[in-house]
Formats: sequence, structure tokens, C-alpha cells
Amino acid sequence: MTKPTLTIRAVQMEALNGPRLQAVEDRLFQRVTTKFPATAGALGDAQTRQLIRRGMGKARRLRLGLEPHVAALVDLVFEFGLDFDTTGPLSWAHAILTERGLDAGARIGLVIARLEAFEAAGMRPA
Amino acid sequence: MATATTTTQSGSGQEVHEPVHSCAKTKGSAMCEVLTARDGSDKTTAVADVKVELSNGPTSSPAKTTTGQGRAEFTALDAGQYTVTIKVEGPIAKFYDLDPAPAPQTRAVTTGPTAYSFLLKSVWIGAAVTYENGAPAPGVPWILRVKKRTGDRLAAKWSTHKEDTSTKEDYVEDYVSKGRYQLAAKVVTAPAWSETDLVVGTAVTLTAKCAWAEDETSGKFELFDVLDPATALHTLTAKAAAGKLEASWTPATDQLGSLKSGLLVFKASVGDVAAFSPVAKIGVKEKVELVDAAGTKLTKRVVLRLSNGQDVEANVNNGEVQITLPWGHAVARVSPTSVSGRVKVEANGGTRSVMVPA
Repeated sequence: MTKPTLTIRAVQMEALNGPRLQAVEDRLFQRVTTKFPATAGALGDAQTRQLIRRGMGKARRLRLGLEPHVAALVDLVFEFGLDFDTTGPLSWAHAILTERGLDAGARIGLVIARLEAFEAAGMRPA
Repeated sequence: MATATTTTQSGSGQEVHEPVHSCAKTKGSAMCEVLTARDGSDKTTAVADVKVELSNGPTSSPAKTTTGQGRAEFTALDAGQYTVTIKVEGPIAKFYDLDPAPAPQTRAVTTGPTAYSFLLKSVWIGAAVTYENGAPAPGVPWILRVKKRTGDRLAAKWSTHKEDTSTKEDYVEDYVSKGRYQLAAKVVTAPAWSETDLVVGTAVTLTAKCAWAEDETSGKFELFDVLDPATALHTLTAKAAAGKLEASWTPATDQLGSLKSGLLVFKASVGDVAAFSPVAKIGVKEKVELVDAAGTKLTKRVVLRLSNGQDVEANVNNGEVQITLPWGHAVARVSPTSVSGRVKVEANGGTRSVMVPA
């Protein structure tokens, strides 16, 4: 006898996630306006939220799921730009962020730790 | 029951993007990486074989060594502050700038991985041969020497690390051993005479710089008529000392037999690199006797007209004066004078007479 299954369709998933994603976005908005007031001020609220959402999308593509990891990635987006890991002096980060076999915390943690190591050595990328 | 993606993500947070059944981890880990980069470069390379120690935390773990990816991981750690220290020892140590030694890093390990990253500055060499204006000077042979460092001591002697020829690009060599390096273009420069008015029988010093040449390296000075810089009139040998080639030369007429122009250059060479000197004039000292028709030795100021048309003023004293004649020329006339007669010119063992007009 086949057990009945309940399938959640994408549209339903979106409905389930919507309010929670909005709450995350709100918290990230608070975070970036505090940590990067100059950037957020220059962008204005609407564009700041848009960049946060694009950062969250990038986090999703990079399989960064937990809010602290998403927040860390959004920090990098606000500090170095949305494409920081594909163009410019931080492009080495892409290989780490997409490395199979490392979990999300290790990947984002290594990127941040490496940036700190560069800074400690007086070699922070521009 | 609805199915939803279950991840193995740890930590107190929920998955941002999708509903999740948290699968909490109770242990943490320390993910350590050791990288190296040139100072000022963002290109990193993993460093293997570095000893990594974990300390000061609630869980102890034996030291590990970085893999080919430059990583070492300590797992199953209870939450707490952990200090990671790296020790770059053994044969690999010579490739990195370890002064000061890499500082230990202390981080809070909770659940999940905590990353520690160490960046070592590599020892590397960059070199370029340029003109004075900074433009690249391709095609110049150069030599890179090293006094290797063993512990705190430098080798006493230079040894050749590499020789090559410059290109338009800078020469860069990564991961060289620590030590003192000396780059020198293999060129001979600043060839110079101590005097540019040479006289047969009077010593002159020939010098040239060859900063790259070790002491006792053989070199030579070849002397040429400026009109024929292919046929050496005479050759002097010399040994490099303190980056300089030097020889003393006393010109002799028999060494300059085929000199036509009276103008000399020398070519200073060390090995297959050489440089030509500026031009120097050479002359011959001659004694001129001035005696009037009655045989009286004159004492007076005269002008000697030379065969090249040049006039030389001379004070004749008791019938004699010494002058330096340009190579290949002679006194043609003496003027003005209140006497007439013959003037006897002695030079190089010969005697000639010239007319003193009335």
C-alpha cells in the first residue's frame, strides 16, 4: 500500500519562508547600517535593502544557510562589493566559498580568517 | 508528514533560506590554514609541513602538521578559547620571513568549525635592469650572487645564484633561501684615463668599473688608434679588485708604431663584456735647440709653428726648450725672431733643423 505523501510546492515554500526571510533581512539591515554607515547612507534605505537581498541570494547560491554565515557574507558584500569573490583582489575567496568537502562555517570562516591574516601582515587587499 | 530539507548545519541559528530540522552539534573544531604570499601580493600558496599546536583550551589535542593544502584540523573540541600556534621549522624555514615569528591566534571555538589563518611572507627576489630614467634595459647580462645564511651567520664568500640576461620584464624568483643577495649588471663602465693628454714615456693609469667581477678576475685594456678600433696597438692585462680594473701604462713609441691619428682609445674588457674609453691625445716630448747663425745659444720667447699648423709659445733658455709635439708632427718654423739661422730639433734620438726666418 502506498503511503500518501504531502508535497510542498515551491510557491507554498515561499509563503512559509517569506515572513522569516523578511525578519532576517530586517536584522541584516540593522547590522549593515551600524557596521557600514557610510555605505548604507550613500545607498539609501531602499538600495541598502536591495543589496542585502542580493547578498542573501549570493549566500544561498554559495550554500551558506545559517544566519551568522549569511551575515558574514553580507558584511563582505558591503565592504568589498557584491562580486568581491569573482573580481578584484579577493577573487581567491571564490575557491574557498565553493569548496566541496568544507562545511559552510569553515568556508566563510576561512575567508574571514584569511582576510584578518592579510591585515595582520599589513597586506590587506584594497 | 511534510518533507523538508534537513541539513547538518550546526549552531544556534536556523537556516535562513529554508525550513530546517536542526541537527545540533555539541563539539567544535579548529580549521587552521597556513599560506604564504609575497609581500604586497594577494596571490597565496598553501604551505605544507608546518607544525600546528593547539593550546589553552578545554580540550587538548596533539600537534598536527599542515597538509599539501596548508591545512590542519583539530576536531571534537569542547567550546572555549583556543590558541593556535604555528612553528615553521626544518628545511622549509629558510623560504619564509619569520622575523618576527608568526603570532599565535586565539579564537573562541563554539560548535562547528572555527577558522585560523596564518600568512607567512615568503622570501623572494625581484630584480630589474633599467636605464637611469627607469626604462627597462633588455639584453644586459646580469649576475645574482648570494651569501647564504645558516642560522644567524652569513657565508663569508659570495657564490653565484643565477646568471641571465635582462628582458623588458622584471626578474622574479619565489621561495629563495634567506641570505644576502647582490645583483650586478655584467657591464664594464666608466672607462677612464688618468690623463687625457698622454706623453710618450710618462706613465698613465687606465681604469674601468666592473662591480660584478670578483677580485682576481682577469681583464684587459686594449689600445687602439681612434681611426682603427679593430686593430689593437698594444694590450695590457689587469686583475679586478674591489669592482675595478686598473692598469698603469707608460706609452712607448715602439708600442704605437702604426698609430696614425695621434688619438687613442682603449677597450676595457672582462670576459665578453667591454667598454671603450674616451679619446686621449698622445704626444712626444722633444728638445728644441735655438742657435743663431753665429752659434750663439739664444734666450728668448718664440712661437713654434708645428707641422699640423698649431702654434706653440715657448720660452727658450740658453738655446734650449722642451715641448710636447703631437704624435706624428714636428716643428716647422720658429717665429718671430730677430735672428736668422737654423734651429736644431732633437727628438727621439734624431736631430732636425728648421729655418728661423729673418
